Amino acid sequence: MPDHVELRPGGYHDSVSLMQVSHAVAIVPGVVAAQVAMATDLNLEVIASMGFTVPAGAGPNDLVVALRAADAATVDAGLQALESALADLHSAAATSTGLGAPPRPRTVGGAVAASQANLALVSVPGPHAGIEALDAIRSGVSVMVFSDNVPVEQEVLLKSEAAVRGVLVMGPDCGTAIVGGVALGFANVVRAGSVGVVAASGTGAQQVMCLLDAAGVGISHCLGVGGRDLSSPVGGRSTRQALAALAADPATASIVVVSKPPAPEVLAALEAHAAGLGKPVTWAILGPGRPDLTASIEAMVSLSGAMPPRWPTRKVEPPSAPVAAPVDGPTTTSGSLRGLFCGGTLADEAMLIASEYVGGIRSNIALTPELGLGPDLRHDGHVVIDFGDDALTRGRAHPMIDPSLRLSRIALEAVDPSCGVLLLDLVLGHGAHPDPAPDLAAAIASARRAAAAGGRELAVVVSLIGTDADPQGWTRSADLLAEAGAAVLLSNAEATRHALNLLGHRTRPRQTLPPSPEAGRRAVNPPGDGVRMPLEGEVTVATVGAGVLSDALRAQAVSITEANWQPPMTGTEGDLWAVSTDARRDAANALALARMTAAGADLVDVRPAREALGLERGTFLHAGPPITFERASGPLRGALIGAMLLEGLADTAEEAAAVLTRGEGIVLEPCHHRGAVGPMAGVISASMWVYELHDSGHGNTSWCSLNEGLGKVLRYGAFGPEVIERLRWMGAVLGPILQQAVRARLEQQSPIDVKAIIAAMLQMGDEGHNRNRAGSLLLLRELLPTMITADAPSSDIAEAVRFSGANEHFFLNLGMPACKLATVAAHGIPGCSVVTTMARNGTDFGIRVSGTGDEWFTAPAGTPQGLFLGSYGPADANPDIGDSAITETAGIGGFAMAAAPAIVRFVGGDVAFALRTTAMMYQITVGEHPAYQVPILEFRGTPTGIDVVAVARTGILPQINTGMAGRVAGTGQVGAGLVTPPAACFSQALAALAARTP
Amino acid sequence: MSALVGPLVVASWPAAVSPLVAAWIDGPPRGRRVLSAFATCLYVELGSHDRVMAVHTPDAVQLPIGVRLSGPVRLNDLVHAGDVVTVGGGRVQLPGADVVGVRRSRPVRVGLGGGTAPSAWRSLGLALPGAGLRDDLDGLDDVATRLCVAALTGRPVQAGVGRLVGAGRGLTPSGDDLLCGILLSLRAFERPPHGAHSALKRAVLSRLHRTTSISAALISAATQGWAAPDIVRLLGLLAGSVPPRPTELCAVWNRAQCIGHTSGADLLAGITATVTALTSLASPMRDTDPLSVRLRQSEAAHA
Repeated sequence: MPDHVELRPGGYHDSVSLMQVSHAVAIVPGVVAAQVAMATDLNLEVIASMGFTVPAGAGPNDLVVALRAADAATVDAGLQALESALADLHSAAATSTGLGAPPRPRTVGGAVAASQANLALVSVPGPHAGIEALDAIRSGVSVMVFSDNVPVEQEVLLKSEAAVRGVLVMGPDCGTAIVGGVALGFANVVRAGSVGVVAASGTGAQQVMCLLDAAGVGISHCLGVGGRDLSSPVGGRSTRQALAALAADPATASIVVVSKPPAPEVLAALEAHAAGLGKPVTWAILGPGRPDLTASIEAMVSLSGAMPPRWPTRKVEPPSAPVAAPVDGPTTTSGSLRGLFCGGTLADEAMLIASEYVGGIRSNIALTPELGLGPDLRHDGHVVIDFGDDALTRGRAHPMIDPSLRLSRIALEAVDPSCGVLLLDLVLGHGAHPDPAPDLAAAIASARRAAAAGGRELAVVVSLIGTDADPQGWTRSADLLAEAGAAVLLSNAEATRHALNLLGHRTRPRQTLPPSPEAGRRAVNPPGDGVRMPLEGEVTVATVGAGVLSDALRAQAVSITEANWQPPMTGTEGDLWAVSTDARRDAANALALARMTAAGADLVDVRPAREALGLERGTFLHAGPPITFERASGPLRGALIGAMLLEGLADTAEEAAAVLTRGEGIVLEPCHHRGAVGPMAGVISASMWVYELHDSGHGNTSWCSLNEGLGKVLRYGAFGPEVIERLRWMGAVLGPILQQAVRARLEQQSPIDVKAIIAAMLQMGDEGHNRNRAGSLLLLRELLPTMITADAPSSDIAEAVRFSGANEHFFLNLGMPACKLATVAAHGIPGCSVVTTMARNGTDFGIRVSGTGDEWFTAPAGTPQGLFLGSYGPADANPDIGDSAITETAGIGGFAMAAAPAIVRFVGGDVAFALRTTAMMYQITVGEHPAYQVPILEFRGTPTGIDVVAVARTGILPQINTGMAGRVAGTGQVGAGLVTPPAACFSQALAALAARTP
Repeated sequence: MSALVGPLVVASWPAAVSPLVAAWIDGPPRGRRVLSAFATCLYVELGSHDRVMAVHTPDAVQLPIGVRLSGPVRLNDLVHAGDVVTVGGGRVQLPGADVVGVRRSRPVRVGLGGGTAPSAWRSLGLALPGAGLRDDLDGLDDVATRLCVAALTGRPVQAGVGRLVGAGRGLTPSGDDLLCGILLSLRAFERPPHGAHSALKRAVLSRLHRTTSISAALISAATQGWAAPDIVRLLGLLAGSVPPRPTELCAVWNRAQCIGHTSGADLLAGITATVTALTSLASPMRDTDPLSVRLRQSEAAHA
């Protein structure tokens, strides 16, 4: 099991922040142990005692990261979570005005919303790119997908959805675009003008744009469509959208489409469609029997009446023209063509042209299967290699950035007597190597020397794709290459023909094609609603995973918002896609949110559980998902024993335990199964009195036990005589008085509106789970008038009032069933990914989801981390327990921490943390609660409706504020802290949802 | 790009330069005075009263005279009003940082309309928050409405313009923002040959010396149709041939209100005044229409 230990000097963070960071790493599935702390002696001792080897020289100003995980991949995942958590801290601190900044969004949809971006850029690994692109499309913006390895089925679905939403998908595997003068990915600096380019090939588009620039013709925009767009399955969907966008763009007067060989029927359909666009379209499409890219551009330039220029060259004497006589200078008619390319399209073009003269050319991207190459990529005859092909870029950067593989091959060819001419491409511009010409020139010079030493003249031809405005400079780069002995040409087609000339072949003269007929001048199919691309005005970009691409955009003074992305929960990609593309989901989630937030909660009665729930003798309800007595933790066991004693089913604790263990005549059931909720152990038995709440809008009812107060109480597993006595008093005195009070209030006035109390208490510093002081006072105020006039001895009434008033969590037992009503209203909607139950039984944490009905998804409960009372410590804490997480499920509790900053004194953290927590929860919820508002967030509604998809995607787990129970039954509360559900609950739920998609 | 740096290290900050101010950035370096410095925006004079550039951060409103940085920074920690900075040679030299023009930005513009009346207004306008006439403009919005009516009916506009240019306390006085709103919306809605727009433009341009340089520069740009993106978008929606979706219209309207402290609201008031004028001239409003009542009241008060 691998350990990872590292020191980060000079990285100071306060211990509370580091506690959060440590926790974020520790909860990554598969991480066994994690510590992130300042390397003080004390901390180093702890880390060493965990079995880690601490590096020497660690000082207290250094940050030490110690991580142990199941395997190397999990270590990486843990480190990624570390970076993400640190990034959140930094963003909070960077613009600190004391309250901290909101955490960065983790998805591209979040980034678009936060910044009003009008274009998205996705560059995360292929398996995850589809979800991000879908997110961008649904946020209403066009998206450039730089990522490759996106399954074609996903591409088709993305582009179909994009067509419906009126946006454009540039990609997948799109590396080149220019929008409004802004270069995205690999693009050259070309003059502005009125030609719009649609590019199904990146380097092909670069060749075309550089030629146009050299001819004095400018570009309005270059819209990429992805390398696979013109294949049969995809059918040119993005090409169609791009054509529509350019047809509607006032700055574009004519259009050129650039592609490698496409599916013929797709091309035919597009050509027909383009004829009705109202602007002339040139098809610069490579293919057997079709003109090369240069010829197509020459035809296009001729259309405007101008003569195509002589394309720039160096050391091509005479210029690449019909060879009437042998070329001046040495020719190597005995050698072979060796084409070593970085751009796939350029390699294709070279092969298409050369095959006409030299026959079959071997290649790793051969035109026909029998012309393939072996793994060493060597052959005696003519060879063309695309170094940018996937197989050659595993684990290394693209050759346009890292040229080392090709440089090695050049050296090999130099000493290979069968090599006659080296044909190379070199692409300049944004995104490429900052200055590739010197290294290539040196390699060429060295190769020519090596060949000369072997008595051979090695001819070298370079097609240099670039402009003088590029950072590297075309002229400067060309001069360097020419000095090294290469012939340099801007046109790849001309370079190929020149190489063939040098091998002694006569090539056909430059074809001046007639300009294509004036098709497309009339707009027969005027574009409909238009495609939402920022073709006018400024481009603002939201990026995810983009790294270097983001830097390039910032260098062009483009405002960008980067999502703080991390991979989704391991193994969930397939399920995420299935559920995200479920047509029912958006409407289902909207309905769930509407119902959840509209649900009312009126206190209508107080009755014994026997009556209210029909609870049978020997049946005990408990908090959390189903569990057996064997597996139950201390507090739950103690509470069950106490309940047995209360019901008279046993005389002693030992007897009770024995009966419970045997299980005869005993039924244990989750409170949730009966529409009830219980705090902590949450045990409800027949004699216990319960509050009854009603949601008249949806016709649902929920129940919860009465709160026993603090100290040694049943819900913490105490079962001593004082506990039983108090419970009896509650049943004999408190319950009936409350019943009278509630019924009288209902009769004389109206039921107590518990939902209204929640709304009010959130604006008085409560959050409804761990802090209920204001709510308890508000409740008391509602109850007092009719409590006082109840028919009971005044001493009983006084004791009931004192008991209720002394309990600062008095309201919790009403807030919880109110939240239960809200979640019940949202439950059972097909296709809905909203969580409707979060509950713990002290051993397991269980969730239920609206769209998967009553199925529980469980995993071992975590132990809360926080602050301890008295001399208690972490070893004293029981795993998370109670149904009180129903508050977070309904949008309050930990989700409303920003409304209750004082709570950080109990659970740990600082005020900024409280605000940040609520801010984070917006990223995993469907919407905001209209009634529950947080004053300091300008009365923004609390984040409501936890979405399983969002949790799995972002790795942000719902934050729960909770009390901590002592492990040993009857200990009572040992502290308060923060806890999250296990990630496994959500991945399981997601899988179940995916299995139910139509 | 580094964020805030001390004076000993000169950072280089890429910026997108508006074509309206590019000539001064590209020209020979000259000392220029900082007129006003805020955290997110600096105003720098460019040699004549109505030539100003705004160096601003990406989260600030995109002004047509803007030089837009690509990252957040507190500009007023670096410079203050009255400081002299060197502008030219492709950059603006601030203490500790060079703002380098790396690309031309593409400000947006209200096109000269073909005379489509903003028909959507009647049903949507009264539902927009803050639409209709305001109570806090000291009667300037009434002046604005009457000025529009005068311009559209060929009556003299000098007096009305004189009451608006420079009226108000701020850096861009409310009267100026009202005028910008009127000029922009006349471009969008008035029928060719845009006589009212031409008349107002002449009158306004002759009075620019009576207001702040910053405001003069923005008015000047507005006479050519240049404005912040949300204003251009709003007018585009209202002047379009297809009625806009209410949610989209509301969203753009709300964003426009947030421009500056009161500038956005004042611009919208100018637009409202123009539409009120156009609507009342195109078809007589019902007596009970609140806008009509208000208009008649104001006419009576100033008769």
